[in-house]
Formats: sequence, C-alpha cells, structure tokens
Amino acid sequence: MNNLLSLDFTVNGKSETFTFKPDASLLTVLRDNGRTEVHNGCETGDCGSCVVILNGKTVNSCMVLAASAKGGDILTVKALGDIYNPHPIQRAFAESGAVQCGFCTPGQVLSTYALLLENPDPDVEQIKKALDGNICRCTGYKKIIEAVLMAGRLMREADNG
Amino acid sequence: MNDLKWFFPESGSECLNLFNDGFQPHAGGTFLIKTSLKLSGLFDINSVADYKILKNTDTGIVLGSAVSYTDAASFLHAASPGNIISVALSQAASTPLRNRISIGGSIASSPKWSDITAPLAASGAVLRFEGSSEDIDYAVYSADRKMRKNNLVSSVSVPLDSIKGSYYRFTFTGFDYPTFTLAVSKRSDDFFVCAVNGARDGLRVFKGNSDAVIAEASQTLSFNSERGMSEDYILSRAISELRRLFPKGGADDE
Ligand SMILES: Cc1cc2nc3c(=O)[nH]c(=O)nc-3n(C[C@H](O)[C@H](O)[C@H](O)COP(=O)(O)OP(=O)(O)OC[C@H]3O[C@@H](n4cnc5c(N)ncnc54)[C@H](O)[C@@H]3O)c2cc1C
Ligand code: FES
Ligand code: FES
Repeated sequence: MNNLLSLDFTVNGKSETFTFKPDASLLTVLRDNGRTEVHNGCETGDCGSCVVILNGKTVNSCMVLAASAKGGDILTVKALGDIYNPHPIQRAFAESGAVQCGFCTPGQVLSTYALLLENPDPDVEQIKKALDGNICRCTGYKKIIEAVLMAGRLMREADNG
Repeated sequence: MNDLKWFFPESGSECLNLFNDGFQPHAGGTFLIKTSLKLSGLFDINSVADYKILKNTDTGIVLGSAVSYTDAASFLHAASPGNIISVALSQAASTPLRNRISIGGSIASSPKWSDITAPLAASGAVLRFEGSSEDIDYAVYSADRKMRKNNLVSSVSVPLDSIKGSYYRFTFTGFDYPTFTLAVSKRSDDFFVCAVNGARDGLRVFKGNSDAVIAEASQTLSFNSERGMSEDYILSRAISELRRLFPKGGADDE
C-alpha cells in the first residue's frame, strides 16, 4: 500500500497542503501540482532548469526530497512577474536577447534574483559564480551575463526612485 | 520504498534515538535522493539548532553537521580569508547544490569526488558524534567504513592555524566532479601536511617538507584510469599540481 504524505509548503506566497509519495522530489511535487514553470531537464542536479528558491536560497528542486521542504517557503519564477507585469530581471532577459528556446530561463532568472538580493551590483565574475549551476544550450552565456548586469542596473534605479 | 517514514526531530538526543532505532539522517539529501531509498525511515536534522552551529572557539572553528557548504565557506572565509576549506567548499558543485550539500552528509557519504575530504584531512579536523564527548580524528573516521556507518556526526572542528595553505581540484570544467583533489596545510616554513583524495586507495596523507612530500607521493601514489585519461597521466598531473601548490623556496603562497 502506498503511504502518502500530506505536508504544507508556501508556494509563491500561498500556503497549501501537498500530498505525495515519501520519496518524491520537490520538482515532481511542484510539477504534478501545476507548477510547470519549474522545468525538468536532467533530474540529476546538473542543468539548473528546475531551480527554485527555498527559504531564500536557490536549490535544484530535483535534488530536494519534497518531505524535507516541510513548512518551507518556495518561490518559482511566477512569483516575480508575468508577461503583462514583468519583473526588471525578466525585462532585462528579454531585452538583452538572453532568451532563445527559454527552457533554462526560469532557473537563470531565479539565480539572478537570489544574486541581486544579496549583491545589487555584482561584477562579471560574481555573476558567473552565482549562475554556475544554470546551463544554457542556446545563448552561449554572453547575453545572459549582459542581462544580469542590466537587471542589476534596472533594480538599482528602481530602488533609488 | 513508498513506506518510507519521515521524522523531524528538534534535538540531538531525539536524533540519536531515531538513529539507534535504525532510521537514517537526512541533511542536504543530495546523495540520498540518488539512492533507491529502500529504507524504513529518514529523520531530517535541519531543525536541530546544535547541528546548524557555526562558531569560533579557542581551539578552532566548529561547524555543525547540517551546515551547508555555502554557509560554512562564507563563515570560514570571514575567519581566515582564502583558507583551504573555504576555497574547496566554494568550488564544489554549483551554487544551488552548495546551498543544500551539508558538511555532515558529505563527511558521512564521503564520495570519491568530495571537495571536503582532502582539506579536512590536511588540516587535522576532528569530529564529534552525537552522544559522545570524544574528539575523533577525521582521517581515522574517513578510513573506517564501520565507524562511518555507526555514528551520527554532530559537528566538525578545524584548528584555525592549520587551514592556511593551498587547494586544487582536477576537473574538466568548473562544475564537474573532480578526478582528484589536493590540499596542502602549511604548518611551518618547512613542515606541511598534504592530503590527496581520489587516489586508487582513496585518501592519502603525506607529511614533511615539500621535497619529502613530493618524493613520497611520487613513489607511492597511484590512480585508476578515468574518462579517457591513463593512470600515468593522472599521476603525473597530480604530482605536477602538487609541486605547484608548494611555495617556491619554502616561502608561503598566501
Ligand atoms: C550533481 C552533483 C554534483 C556534485 N558535485 C560535488 C562536488 O563537486 N564536490 C562535492 O564536494 N560534492 C559534490 N556533490 C555532493 C556529493 O556528491 C554528496 O551528494 C553530498 O556530499 C552529500 O551531502 P548531503 O548533505 O546532501 O547528504 P545526504 O544526502 O543528506 O546524506 C548522505 C548520507 O550521509 C548520511 N548522513 C547525513 N548526515 C549525517 C550525519 N550528520 N551523520 C552521519 N550520517 C549522516 C545520510 O544518512 C546518507 O547516508 C555533488 C552532488 C550532486 C548531486
Ligand atoms: S532538472 Fe534539476 S538540475 Fe536538471
Ligand atoms: S535559452 Fe535555450 S537553453 Fe537557454
């Protein structure tokens, strides 16, 4: 008999009860519950397309046993904005040409968000380090780095009114 | 597999009871999630305050077993910039993985590619197990599979004066599993403790002046061939990287 767990997480500001197998990954639980903006690329911790922010830190949701996120606060890329009301990071990615197929983009955007909250004006080396777990098969990274620099500028300008 | 139970203890003694009942600790989960999880139960140790400890004491730095690589690296860097453990931990895996991978989970699972093994061995780190006040030498623990299986690690302490030195990981790209890692702890101008992890027989420790360490390593180290690289190539690469880690003419590379 399957022993299912029912645990609460807060996803994008909304607390919900999720029911899942005790060995399920956080990636599976999120996607099975409609959070398909969290992408499934490799399920081995290598690509970063499944990155979410858990309790303030980026994690590969495929490498997190969902039960261990009990009570956790999870942000997916949808928490930041959407096409009608994009976050400055999402705008910067679009305007810099840092999005081609878009598969890696939710993870890249969330890694950028976590970086800019901690360090509003990162240099290129700091950007490379913060995004070292996000692989892009399309863009070659130059545009992504430009997008992060632009996002930093936009966010600093917004902060300075 | 689906009968796996989960527990969320808040104290070391609750953890020890669960461990003695045959349940396994869960820290970062990055190793466990890759296993078949044919276990009766897991207890998550992240709510135990003592296992999240990061502190500077007279004898050195204490890192709780559930502390992540990210948090450990930044605390150690603040205490002693550029030390071998913070350099090693901040190069491991990738940012989102370092946010999860724990000190204790890495010490216990000790994969061949772990970036924590060589610097802990070189710096003479000691471990504490839950339910005991004895200091256990990390290198002894690391070599003893039974000791690893039968003990719940609560913390590791590293002496501040032995974490100065240099670290190297041999990888193809930044985010890659290292084939071998090297850590050199400088104890004085002519006495070093050097740890090599990933050798055919696992972790090796060499002590002495730079010439003695390099001579012994050259004569006694061996590696398995891996990823299209021959045993001889990996050995020659390890020895030349080791030479580079030693300061020229006995002066430090800090
Ligand atoms: C894609 C990928 C790349 C990686 N690359 C690297 C790398 O380059 N360098 C590197 O250093 N690491 C790397 N790792 C991490 C490494 O492979 C292990 O997964 C990690 O060290 C395990 O730590 P954890 O906290 O996740 O342990 P867990 O998965 O939580 O536990 C591992 C084992 O240790 C036991 N355990 C946990 N805590 C304790 C404790 N306190 N006392 C006793 N036993 C305990 C568990 O029961 C389990 O058996 C990588 C991991 C992934 C997924
Ligand atoms: S799907 Fe998680 S890292 Fe690739
Ligand atoms: S835009 Fe296609 S993988 Fe990054």
